[in-house]
Amino acid sequence: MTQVDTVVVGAGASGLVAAVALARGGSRVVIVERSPVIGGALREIEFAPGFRAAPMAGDLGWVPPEVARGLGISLGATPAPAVSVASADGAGGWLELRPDPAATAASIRRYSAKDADQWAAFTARVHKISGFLGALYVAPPPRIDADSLGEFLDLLRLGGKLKGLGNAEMIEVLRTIPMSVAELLDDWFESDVLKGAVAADAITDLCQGPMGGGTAFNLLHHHVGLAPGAIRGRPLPAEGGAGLVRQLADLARTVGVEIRTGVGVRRVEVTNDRVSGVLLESGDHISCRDVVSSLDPYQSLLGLVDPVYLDPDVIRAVRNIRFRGIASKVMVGLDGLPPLPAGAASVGAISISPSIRYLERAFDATKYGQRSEAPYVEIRFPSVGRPDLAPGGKHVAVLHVQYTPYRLRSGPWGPADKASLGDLAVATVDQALPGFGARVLHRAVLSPPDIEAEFGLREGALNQGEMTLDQILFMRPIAGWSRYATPVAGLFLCGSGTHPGGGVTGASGWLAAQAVLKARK
Amino acid sequence: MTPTLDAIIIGGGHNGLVAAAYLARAGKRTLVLERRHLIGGAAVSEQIFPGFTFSVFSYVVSLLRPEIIRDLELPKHGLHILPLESTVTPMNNGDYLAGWGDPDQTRREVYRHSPKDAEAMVEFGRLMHHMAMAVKPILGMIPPDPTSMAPSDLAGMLKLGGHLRSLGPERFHALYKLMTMSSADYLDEWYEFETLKATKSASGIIGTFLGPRSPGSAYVLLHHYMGEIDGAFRAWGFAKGGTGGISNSIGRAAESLGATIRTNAAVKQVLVRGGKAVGVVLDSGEEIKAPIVVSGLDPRRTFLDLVEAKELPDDLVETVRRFKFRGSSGKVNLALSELPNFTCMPGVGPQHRGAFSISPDMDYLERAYDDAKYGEFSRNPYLDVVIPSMIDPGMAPPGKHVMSVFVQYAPYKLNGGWTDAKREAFGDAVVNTINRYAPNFKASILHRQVLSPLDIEQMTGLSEGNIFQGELALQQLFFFRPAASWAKYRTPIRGYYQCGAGTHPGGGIMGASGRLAAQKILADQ
Repeated sequence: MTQVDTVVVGAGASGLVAAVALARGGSRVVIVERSPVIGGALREIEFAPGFRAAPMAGDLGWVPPEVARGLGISLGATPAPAVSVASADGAGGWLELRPDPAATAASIRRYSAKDADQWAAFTARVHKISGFLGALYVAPPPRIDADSLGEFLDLLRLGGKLKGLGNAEMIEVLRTIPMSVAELLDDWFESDVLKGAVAADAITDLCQGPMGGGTAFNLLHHHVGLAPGAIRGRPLPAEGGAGLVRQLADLARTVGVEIRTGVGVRRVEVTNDRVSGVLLESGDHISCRDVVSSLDPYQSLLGLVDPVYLDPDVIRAVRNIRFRGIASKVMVGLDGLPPLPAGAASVGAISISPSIRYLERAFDATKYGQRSEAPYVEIRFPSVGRPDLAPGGKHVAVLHVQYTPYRLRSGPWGPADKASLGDLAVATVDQALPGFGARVLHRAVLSPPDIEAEFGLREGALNQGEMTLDQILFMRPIAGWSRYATPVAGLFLCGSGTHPGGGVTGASGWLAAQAVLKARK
Repeated sequence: MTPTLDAIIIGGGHNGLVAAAYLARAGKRTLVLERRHLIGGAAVSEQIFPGFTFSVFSYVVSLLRPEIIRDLELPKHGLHILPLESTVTPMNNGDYLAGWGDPDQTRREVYRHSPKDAEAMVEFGRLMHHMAMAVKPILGMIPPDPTSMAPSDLAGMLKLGGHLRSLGPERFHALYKLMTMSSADYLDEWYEFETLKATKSASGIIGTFLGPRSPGSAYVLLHHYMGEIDGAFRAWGFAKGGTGGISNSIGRAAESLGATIRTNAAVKQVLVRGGKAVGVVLDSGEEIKAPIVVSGLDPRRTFLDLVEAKELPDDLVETVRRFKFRGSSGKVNLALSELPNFTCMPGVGPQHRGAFSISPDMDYLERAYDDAKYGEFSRNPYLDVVIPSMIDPGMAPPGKHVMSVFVQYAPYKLNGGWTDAKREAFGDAVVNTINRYAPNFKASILHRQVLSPLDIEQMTGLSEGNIFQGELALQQLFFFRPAASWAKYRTPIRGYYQCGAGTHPGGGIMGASGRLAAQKILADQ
C-alpha cells in the first residue's frame, strides 16, 4: 500500500500537466495510466509494420503561453508559424488558405475578387474575437451561478478591454457566437469554395452541419491562439504530440512524479464522504487525499465513484452530457507521396470540403444514423515532417473522416462497415489527389467505437463532450460543477471535459491543479 | 385638411394598433395608416370564397399579453377567445397520440404509449412553467443597451441581473440550456416516445429556418409555451370571427380612445428634416405631418425602405441588411364540403375541435427541413391543421367547413423561384399529405388558397414572408432585436420609432412590442 497526496488518473497531456503543477505545489503525486504507454489521445500507434501515426493528434491545439511558461516547457511559449491548407474546389483546382492573408487572397481571387478583398478584414475579425475567447480560457470559467451575473459582465468587459475590443465589437462577439458558420460566412463571402474551406473547421468533431447554430463558436474556438491572418492551418510541431508528451513526462519525473503504466483504476474509494484512495485493477491500493481524473466526466463520476455519493440531479446531468463521436480516422501507409497541390512542402493539410452544401449533406446522414456518402475529409501527412514515422522513402497519411456516427442505425460497427468506410475515404481522397489510391500499402480504420476502445474516449469523441454552447464555460462539464471540483470531496476533474475544453492543450490540467491547491488551503 | 397630429403609426397590424391605442389613451392625437383595405396585417379574417371566412395568415392565439387585454378592455370591444381543445398526432402505425385540455387525460394518453414519459411530463410541465415565468418579466422589459454607460441602461442591466439572480442557479442554468440547445436534444433529456418528442419539438421550428436538431430551436419551443389564456400557460385558442377579430377589437379600442384609422393609405416614405421625423408621404403623394412617426413594419422596411440610408449610421444599415428573415412557412386555406374522417380516429369528435399535427417522428421533421435547406419545399411537410368552423360555426355555410393548414417548410428562396406551378405543386404536397391520414379529404375540397412565403410577403408586406418579422434566433433577440443599441424602439432619427414584432420581444400576436414602444415614446415626451 502506497501513501501519496494525489493520484492522477490518466497520463495524457491534461493528467501530466496537472501532475507537474501539483508536484510543483508541494504534493506527492502518482499518475496511474491504464495503457502500457503514456500520452493519452496524443499517443502514437503502429498501425502497420514500420508505420506509425498519432491519429487523434492532427494538431496539438493551442498551448496557452501562460501554461507553457508556468510549466517551463518550450512548446506554446512562442506560437509556431501556421501552415497552409489546400482545399479542393471539386473541379480539380485548389484554394489555398495560407498563413499570409495576402497570399490567401491571391488564391481566393481565382474564385471571387470580392471575397479576396474581404479576406484580410475577415481574418482580423476572427483573430480579434478568438483572442477574446482566449482570455477566458486561461482562467477558471466565469462564475455565473446566480449571484454573480454582474461579475460575469465585468469579466466580459475586462476580456474585451484586454483584447482592445470596443463596445461595438463586444456586441459583435455576442452576436457571432450563437450563429451558424454558414450564416457568418454568408455575411462575408460569396464563393462556395471559400465558404466550404473555412466552414469545415467549424464542424470538425462536432455533430452539427455548418448550418447548425453555434458552429460559428466552434470556428472561433479553433482559432484561439493561432497566428494573426491564418485560418485553419494550426501547425503540428516537428516533434508532434509525442514531443509534447516526452517533454511533460521528463518534467514530471524531474519534479518527483511517479508514473505507473499498465494499471487501470477500478474504483475511487470514499471514506466519511471524502476521497481516501484508489483501488487499482491489480488489486493494489493507493491512499491519498485527492484524486484528479483526466478521464471524461462520465467515466470519472459514474465509472470510478459509487453512485451513492452523487445526487440524482448530478447523475442525470452527467448522463445528459453529449459526446457523440462523429469522426473516424483512417491511417494509411503510402509507397510515396502522391502529387500534391502547389506548394506541396508547405501544405499542412488538405481539405475535401468544396462547399457548405457538401458539408451539410455529409451531416444529414448522421441524423438518420448513417455515415456520409460523400464525407468531409481532412488529410495530413505527418511523415513529411517526421520521416521516422514510416520506413525509408515511405509515407504516412492520416485521414479525418466525418461524419461517421458512433451509433449506426443498422447495428454496431462491424468489419464490413469499416472496410467500406476505408474504401470510401481512400476513393474520396484519390478523386482530389489522383494517384493517392495507387500508393496505398496499408490501411487501418478507426471508427468511433475503435477510438473509444483504443484511447478511452467515450463514444469516440475527441473532446470529452461536444463543444456546444450549452456545454462550455460555466456549463462544462455540468452546471454548478464547472470549477474542477466534483460533488465528491477530494475528487477533481482535469480532462478536456472541463473548461476550456478540447483544443486548448494543457489548460484544463493546469487550471484543475490550481483548484486542487486552492482547496487545500 | 388633416387636424394637427401628435403621432402617425405606419401599418395597421396588431402591434401598430396596440401602440396607437396606448398613445391615444395617453391623449396623443394618433393616426394609423394601413396600406390594405382592412386592418390587421397578418392577423386578418377575410372571406376568400363566398360564405367561407378564413384567418388568412395567423390562425391561433395564445401569446397576446393579458395586460393589453385588460388595459384596452378588449373583451368589451369584441375580443372573444374560444379554446382549442386538443392536439392529435397520427402515428405511422395507425395509432395516434392525443393531447387534451385536461392534463390528467393527457397523462393517461401518454401513459398508453410510454409510462416513463407520462411520469416525466409532470416534471417537464413544471419546469416549462417555471421557465415561462422566468422569461415573462423579460418580455415586459424594454431591453437595456449592454454597452452603454447611461444611467437608464445600467439600471436596466441591473434589473435584468437582479431578475436572473432571483431565479436561483438551477432555473438559471435550465434557462441557459433552453436558450442554446436544440429542441430535439432538450426533449431527449426528458422523453423517449418519438411521436411525443416530434409533436412537442414542432413548436420549436415554427416560423424559423431551423430543424429540430439545430441549436437555437429550444428557445422557439419556450416562446410558444408563453401563451396564456385566463392565466393558463400553454393554452391556445381561436378568436371568434377569426384572427381578424383580435385586430378589429384592438382597432375599436384604439378608436374609442380617440385614434383615427385610415385604410388604403400606403406610406411611401418617412419625411425627415434635419435628422428629425416630421411626417410621412403616402403613395398618392399626400403628405401628413406629425412630430412622432412609428413604424409597425419589419426592420428591413423600417430602416431600408421608409427612410434613406444617409439618415442612418452605416453599421445599423449593415446590421439590418444582415438581419435574418428567411421565411420558412406557407399556409393553405381550404373550404370543405365535409369534415375529414381521420383513419386513426374515425368519425366526428373532439379531434375536429383541436389541432391535427402531422409530426409522426423526429426524422419526419428533419427530412422536411432537409428539403428546405437545399431550396425545395418539403415533400412531406410538417402540418398544423385546424378547422375553425367547428369552434365558430359562423366561419362557413351550414354543414360546410373551413380548414387552416400551417405548413413548414416552404423556403422563401425556392430553387428557381416561386411560380404559379410551384405554388400549386406545394399545395398538392399538402393536400396529399393530409389525404394519407383522411382518405375522404381530397374529394371534400371545394376551394383552396395556397400561400407561399412570397405570397405572404406580397400580401402582408412581411419581408421574405417571415411570420415573426425576423427569426427568433438567439443573436436576434432582446437587445439584439433588431440591432444592438437600437433595440429600445427608438431609431437614430429623432421622433421615428419602431413597434413591430421585429423588436423585442418578437412575434406571435403578443402585442408586447406595440405596448413597450408606446411606453418608450411616452417616456421620451
